[in-house]
Amino acid sequence: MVRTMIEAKYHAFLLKRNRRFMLLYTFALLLTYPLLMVFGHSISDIYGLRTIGLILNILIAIAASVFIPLLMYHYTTSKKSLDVYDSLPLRKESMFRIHYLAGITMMLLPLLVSILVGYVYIHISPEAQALLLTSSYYTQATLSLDLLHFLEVAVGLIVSYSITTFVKQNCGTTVDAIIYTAVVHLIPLLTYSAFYLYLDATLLGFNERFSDNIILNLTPFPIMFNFFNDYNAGIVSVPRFVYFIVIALVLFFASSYLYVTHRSERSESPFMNTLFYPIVSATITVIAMIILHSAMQYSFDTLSQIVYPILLACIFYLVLDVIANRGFGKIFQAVVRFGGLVVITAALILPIKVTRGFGFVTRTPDLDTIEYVEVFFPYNISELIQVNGLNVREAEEIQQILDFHDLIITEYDQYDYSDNTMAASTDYTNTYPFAIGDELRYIEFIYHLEDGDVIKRYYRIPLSWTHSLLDFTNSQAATDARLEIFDQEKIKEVGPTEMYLGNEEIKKEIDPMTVYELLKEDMENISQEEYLGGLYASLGQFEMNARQDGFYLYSASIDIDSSYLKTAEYLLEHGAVPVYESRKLEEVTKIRLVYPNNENNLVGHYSLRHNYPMFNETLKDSGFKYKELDLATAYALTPYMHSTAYFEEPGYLVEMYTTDEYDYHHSEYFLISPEASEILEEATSDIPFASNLYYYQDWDDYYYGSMEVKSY
Amino acid sequence: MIQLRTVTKAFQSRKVLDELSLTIPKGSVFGLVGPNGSGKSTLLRLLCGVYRLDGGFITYDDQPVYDNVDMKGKIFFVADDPYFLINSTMAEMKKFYQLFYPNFDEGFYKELIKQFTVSENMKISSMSKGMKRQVILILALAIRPEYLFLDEAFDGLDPMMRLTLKRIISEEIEARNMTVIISSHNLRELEDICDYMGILNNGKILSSGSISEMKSSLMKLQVGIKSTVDTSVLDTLNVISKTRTGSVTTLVVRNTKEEADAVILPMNPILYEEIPLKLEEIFVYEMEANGYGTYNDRS
Repeated sequence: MVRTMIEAKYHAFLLKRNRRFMLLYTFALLLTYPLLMVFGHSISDIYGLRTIGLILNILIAIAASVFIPLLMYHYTTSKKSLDVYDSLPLRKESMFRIHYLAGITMMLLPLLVSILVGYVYIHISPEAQALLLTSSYYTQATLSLDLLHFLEVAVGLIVSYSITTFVKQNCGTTVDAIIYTAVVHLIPLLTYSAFYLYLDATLLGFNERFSDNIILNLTPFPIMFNFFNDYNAGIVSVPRFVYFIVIALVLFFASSYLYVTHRSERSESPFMNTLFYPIVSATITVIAMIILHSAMQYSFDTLSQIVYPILLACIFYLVLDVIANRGFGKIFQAVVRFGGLVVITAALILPIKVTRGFGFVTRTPDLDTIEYVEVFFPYNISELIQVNGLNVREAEEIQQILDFHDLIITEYDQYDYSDNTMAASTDYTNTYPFAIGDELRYIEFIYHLEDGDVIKRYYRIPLSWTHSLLDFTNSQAATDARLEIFDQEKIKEVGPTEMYLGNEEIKKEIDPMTVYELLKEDMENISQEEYLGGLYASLGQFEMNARQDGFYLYSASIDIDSSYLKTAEYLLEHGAVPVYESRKLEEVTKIRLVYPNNENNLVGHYSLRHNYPMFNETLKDSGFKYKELDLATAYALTPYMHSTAYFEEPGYLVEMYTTDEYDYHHSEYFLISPEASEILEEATSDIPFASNLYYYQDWDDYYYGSMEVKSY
Repeated sequence: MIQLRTVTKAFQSRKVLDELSLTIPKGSVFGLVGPNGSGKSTLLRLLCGVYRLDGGFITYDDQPVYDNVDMKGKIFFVADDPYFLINSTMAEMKKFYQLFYPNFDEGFYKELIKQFTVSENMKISSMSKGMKRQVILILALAIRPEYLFLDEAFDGLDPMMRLTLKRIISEEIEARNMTVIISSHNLRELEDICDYMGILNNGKILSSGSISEMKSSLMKLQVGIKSTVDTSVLDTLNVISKTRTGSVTTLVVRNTKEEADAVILPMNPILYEEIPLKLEEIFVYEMEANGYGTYNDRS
């Protein structure tokens, strides 16, 4: 009882002793929140200032979470002060705990004051009160919600505080404590990043995107900002909240143990705990080597990938050693130790490389174990701008996917991708030989197995490889995906925008809902042959917005062309004009043939209704040439020019320059169907590779605008 | 009683205390002396529980001290360079210590302030070295510890304050049977106040015991002998130090008076007298005997 009273009195003593700091800290917090809101004149101002104020508030508290532990345990950095503290009649564990809790109080109490003052201000200030009535983010503002948000911020701060406390118990000086607090905060993230980068650079098919779930658990800072995502949710993630409490407790007990067992005589030396520096410096050095090695795999040869990371990491490690030992006295031993770290690093990463990820690279699941597979294609299958994946469920279709997957692995097996891996390289001209002249596209397979497992693989492959998958554009999966956009559960609202059909006056006569219904019917009934190919005239774009609970999800933009029979008929009846017909020949100033400079220069392809511009820098940089044609030839080619087309036989590509009535210059590309080969015979007689289109192509680099239909 | 048995303490690879054994009687004033780096301050820090032992044990009436709250409540350690809370006054330091030492005597504290003439509300950081020492001594005495450890107790104090401190310590010992351990290089001061002394060198106790025992353990003799007499017989005594000036030989021997008489008297000395040894001299001779210092045999 007496001891408890002593501890309570000492706790109060510490708070009183640091009252000036607490006042200053409280003042800084109040200044950011809620006082910043006072300067707002409108609701959006106040809301914005409130947001900024809360963010600054948290940032100040984060700074305090590092500063306060250094203040609370400053006495451990001096032998003189430890003579007093360690001789006091108080158990070491108690001394540690009292200082820890006093620091937590100093950190959180002013923050709580700031939150409470902010709550009161919002409810009493006439201007700020408007927030409660109008902002959808704040309509449920209650004291309990504010306190729950405070708890989330508090738990993150306590973890940050505990990390600093833990580091402080290991370091004998304040400078070393500050340096290694930053290092220890970063180690979890860097460790994850190192192995992710290494796997990404080394393993063909690896592309586990940085997992939010993992990253959010590796650092205490994101949880402090959780409530910005969803104010009304209270504690956004209870499991994460509990997880961080556990982390804080672990750090607390570890720090307490270190404090109790510390040797006072080691104060004023860089490290109180002689194991701390070797472990931390070794960890960060190994991580640095892995990161450097992984990053260099993208652009350096094999020897450089090994030598440069080792050299740079060695310098880094030796600098750490010089700082830790306050001189060069132990530099030789450090070099020897570094040699050991190189061996450790090799032991960590080589097995992955040698075994190709323990079978990761070559493994594809068996057909009978697959429930369905999601495939993300490099082109738009479903017309949804932001979704270009399919859920393939039919066994035959799954087998097609597996066959294609095996093809990718086989093709790469022939190529030593350990040296400038194709999967990693962005500069394909230096790497994969038959990628020259081609473009790289990604493709992703996500196999959902019957037993609940998920296998993901991601590749960047030459576009020309994917032509065999174009059969999928009219598979059951693709049809289902395309029709998803007409799912009334997902597409809650269809909104109109401008639509250019060559004649602006006619758009007033077009009923968006009619277009919507006709388009749905056409898409349900279109055959694969009709969908994939033919010479269709573009008529424009139809745009739909998906909303859910008032929030915008995505937009769907569908190119309408003459393959959609009923839709086209309706539009043409109301004055729509095919795009190429709207082009005025008298505006043409130049036309030239575009052809590759060697027979291997594949232009590549897209599916029929892709929006991406086909030609970009690729043409200029990758061995293409131009031959200007006379205008008479240009006029003759007009009926054969297509923005979208599919040819069984190779066709031609032209670039056409026009100047419109406003004196604006345009450059456009068109496919020329094989029927026009006679017209081009003379022009192409001296060009061996004029015909470069082996697959069907689609591009529509016009933005016609789109028409949205309101639907409620 | 404080008992130290085979106490060992090392800092990294350097052994500072090497299986040191010592007994300090209750209610005594024990002077701890030794050359620089002998381990005095380390020993004091082990005694008050600041350092952890690497070997052996230290007990206070069979109670250990390290992380022992009850025991530490009876001990107060005054370091050679005392620490005060940043920007504090004596009044604030008093409040600090009052938290941990329930026996803090407010009345005695005020008396001491008058005696030492220190301002309670002055910032300690602006005080001189001597004034800071007075502050910590006031606080230490006001706590009324059973065990008071003073590292360089008199350093910085003027002669009046030294006398005052000695008087107060003596009064406290008499009144409360307080045990005091004083580490100092000023053996003359220690001689005035200490009952017991221990000489520390290279982490070991060279000799220890009451002052009178230590004084009687060595004898300083001045012997004047005719030049025709062979003085080598003097070497049969346990000679610690021997110097000769003309025909007068000054000896420091570890013998009894009778043993010395038996050797010297037969030589018919012209001069033969025992000169009382001061503590400082005892220390110097003991250290010389163990190879510390340069004051060797000049005969």
